[in-house]
Amino acid sequence: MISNPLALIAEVTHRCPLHCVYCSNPLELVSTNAELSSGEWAHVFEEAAQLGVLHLHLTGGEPAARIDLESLILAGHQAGLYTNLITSGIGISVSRLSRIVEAGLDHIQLSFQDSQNRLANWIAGAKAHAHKTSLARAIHTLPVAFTVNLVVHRQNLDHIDEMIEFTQQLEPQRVEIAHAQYYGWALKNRDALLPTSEQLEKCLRAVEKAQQCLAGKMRVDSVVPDYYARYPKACMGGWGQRILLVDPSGHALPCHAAGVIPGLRFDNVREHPLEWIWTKSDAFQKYRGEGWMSETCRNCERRSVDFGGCRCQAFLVTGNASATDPVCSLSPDHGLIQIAQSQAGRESERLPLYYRTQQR
Amino acid sequence: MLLFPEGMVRLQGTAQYILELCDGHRTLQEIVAALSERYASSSQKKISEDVLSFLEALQKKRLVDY
Repeated sequence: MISNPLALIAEVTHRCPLHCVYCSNPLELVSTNAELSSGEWAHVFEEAAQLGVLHLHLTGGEPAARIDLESLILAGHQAGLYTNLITSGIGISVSRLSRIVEAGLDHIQLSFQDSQNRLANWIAGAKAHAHKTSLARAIHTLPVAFTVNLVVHRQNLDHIDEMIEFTQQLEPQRVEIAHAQYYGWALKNRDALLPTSEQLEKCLRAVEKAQQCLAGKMRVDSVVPDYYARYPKACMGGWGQRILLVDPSGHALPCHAAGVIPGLRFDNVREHPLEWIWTKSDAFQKYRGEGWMSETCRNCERRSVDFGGCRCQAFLVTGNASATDPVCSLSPDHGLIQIAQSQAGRESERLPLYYRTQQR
Repeated sequence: MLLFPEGMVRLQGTAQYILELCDGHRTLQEIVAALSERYASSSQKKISEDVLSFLEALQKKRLVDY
């Protein structure tokens, strides 16, 4: 039996004023004129709610690059969804922020690249930090749940304590310490971003300390980055089991990065009901259940815990999307991850960074 | 169902009732009074302790503010 999805990730645009070197968007971005209209999105949100979705994550690109963001939020709210905006803050003035919250926003997640202005702007490839900081001060006065998302990697993990302290001053209810994940642009920049094991240990200690000291003030959430974990993450809660993503042009994907897997056909919400896409379309059926699994996963008792890990990562690292996720210590391809780990920290300052850019 | 960033909790029975009473206006005393009416056989002191520890647990996760 197929379970119903619980969350819809709506990538409402791939336009973004930032050029973050770890962006999870695909290398080939969707152009503006292919984007779904606000009416089309409103229809998708209604369909999602009927399917059993509870959480709506509005993301991009930068969702605020859409002039109709307010009506997208209203549509999510009216569909009865818990509406979350994932934003860099660029394109949101204090007055627009009030309108966005009034439209029915439940939660705002504001990303930060660093605590230090110069370093933050260097990673973002844009002068964004000062605006983010002033916007954060306006957010915490409004009736909306507020999370700060700190993206961490080798270039900033050495001062993780300082970043947590900086975040405290912004007064969110919650901070998410998000290790860069190596898909899209981050994979292109992996040699410069993958942390060393020493950095990771320091980070774990800092997180533990913050969780103890800040209980009741700021919730501190963090997940061990999968390159250093013993077993893979249960990517998306299992392929086609809990989450679906709709890209700016209406293609429905089981995962952010699924577009890299060759031979998968992604059906479009303009042509098919969302319910059909979820239950019947090839892309969502492809890695459901256990039939596709490699020998390693099929004989492993953790197969119902992590579902063999991430299909996109398996493809990106091993060239085979059905392989065991190579971050798993039991994977026959785990050596490929160990090589990347052993290279982390060598000559990092001299490595070139590839900034996220959109072909026009 | 209590929805929050990246998560949800399915609440039933008394837990659900307590959160329904948390409407942003009622005081802790008023919430305890409402529960005392519903659970007349329990002492007010016991109810008060239970409500407080329940709300404290949620506050630690920043799911309620008071």
